[in-house]
Amino acid sequence: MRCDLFKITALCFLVSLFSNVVISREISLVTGNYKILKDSLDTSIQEGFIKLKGKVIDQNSMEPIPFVNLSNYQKTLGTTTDIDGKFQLLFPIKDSIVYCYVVGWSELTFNGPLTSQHFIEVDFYLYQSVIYNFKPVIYAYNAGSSLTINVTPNGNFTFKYPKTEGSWNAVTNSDGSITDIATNKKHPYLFWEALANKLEFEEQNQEIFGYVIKTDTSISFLENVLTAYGLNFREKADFITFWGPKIMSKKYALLQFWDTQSYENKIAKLNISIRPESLLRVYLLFLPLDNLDDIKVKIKEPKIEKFERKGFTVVEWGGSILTHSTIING
Amino acid sequence: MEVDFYLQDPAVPVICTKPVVYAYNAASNFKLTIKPHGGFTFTYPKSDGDWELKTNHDGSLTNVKTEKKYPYVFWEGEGKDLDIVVERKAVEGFLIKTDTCVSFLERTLAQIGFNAKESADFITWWGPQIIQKEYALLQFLQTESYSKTIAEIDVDPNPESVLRLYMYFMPLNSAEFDFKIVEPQFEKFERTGFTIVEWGGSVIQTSKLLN
Repeated sequence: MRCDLFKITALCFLVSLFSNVVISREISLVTGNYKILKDSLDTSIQEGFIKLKGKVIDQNSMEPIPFVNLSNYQKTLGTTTDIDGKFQLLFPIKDSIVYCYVVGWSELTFNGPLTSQHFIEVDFYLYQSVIYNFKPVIYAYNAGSSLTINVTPNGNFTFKYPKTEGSWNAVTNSDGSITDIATNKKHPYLFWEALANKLEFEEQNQEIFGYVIKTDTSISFLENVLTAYGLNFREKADFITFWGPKIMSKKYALLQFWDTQSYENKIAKLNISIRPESLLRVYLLFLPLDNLDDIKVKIKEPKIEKFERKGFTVVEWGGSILTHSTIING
Repeated sequence: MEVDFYLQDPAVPVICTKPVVYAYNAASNFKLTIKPHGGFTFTYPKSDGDWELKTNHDGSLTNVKTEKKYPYVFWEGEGKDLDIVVERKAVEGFLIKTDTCVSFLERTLAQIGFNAKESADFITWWGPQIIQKEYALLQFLQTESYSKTIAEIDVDPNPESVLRLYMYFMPLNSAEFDFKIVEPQFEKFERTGFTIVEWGGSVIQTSKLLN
């Protein structure tokens, strides 16, 4: 019963905060856990109040997390953890929920058991928010012989298709498809996803190369940019139908495209047994925005070098959705 | 204490995600009209719901107006009161452990009659979403119920073969389930002449089955 009640309050609470969340995987909030270490009556505490003392800890490294915000449900009173992740909070029992949050980490709501004049000691455990490398797909054309393709993402794989434990062994076909040698099946592309490490826009001297768009123009915008990069119609359609609906989730979007070099350094290494004559890797980093006032940097349009296809060609694209960024206030 | 947080706002409509329409071997130009019951949220190539198209030998389509090539026609829309279909306390569908979802989908889609490209597009779209939880309930709507529940489709001139497949997918934390699950029988789809294939699906987060 208490559990159900908790779910309901948590639901209302989170819905009010994240009313735009439709597909939870995209703006993924893994919720933290907590552990009550001690719960005892303390008559020195004012009647109708609770004293909460505790520590906020990284669930993975078990290190304390400083500067985490804690508040009651209404956010009318609150505190911040110190350098050792410690905090103390006195709050009225009628508020009954403590909310623990910091940018880049999971949220946590704590609702008791709460009894008047109790002194409660807790450990709060948070996870780092998850960013996915979404849908990198690899197309390969015109290889003279069979290939071994190996991707090493910076984070762990969450999905690969066709399935493989390590590399893909493949041959390219004249219709643009790839045959997976292990299963002798045809595939339009090789697909992988992984958890990303922290990703952030590339910024230099308060400037970033990228685009701010009103998202109702995202289709024509993407068609123009991807054509400029040199993607073919199939690659473009796969990209636009994957990203278009996601970009349109808010009124504006800030987009930055990473090319082969940044892709290799920050997302995943790509090793192919035969060196492609032409190689293009494009990675999209995008931040959905409700308004443009919070952008702290100057946005400059990048120059795009058009990719020429010659001989054995490999094209890969993928991307990540950012939920926050250092270039945005708040 | 571990808790589940439910982020789905009951007021947020279920999205009919990623219906893609492939067309093959049309003898002439044809007109494709899609009428989703909840309206469009996205179309590609952009349109109000009518496309003038021709098919190409490589399996792609050309938009007759712009002469541009596309691998498929894509749309998304809002679903209206979508939920798993229950008949006589039984659900026709599959309850799977999601670590088997790739081989399950490969097998099932091959049985239904998808080709390699359609199957890969389907699996790479749904696979990563399905594996988010340990179990999943999958239900497939075929051509007739697709039209009735999700979107009507009109193709002029008439295609010889039409396959429309819509998947409801409900993520689950456990395999305990109050309803009987009956595996459906699929009649294998045969492609002859001018052929239309469409697939799409919705994630069902709030369902009458869960109460």
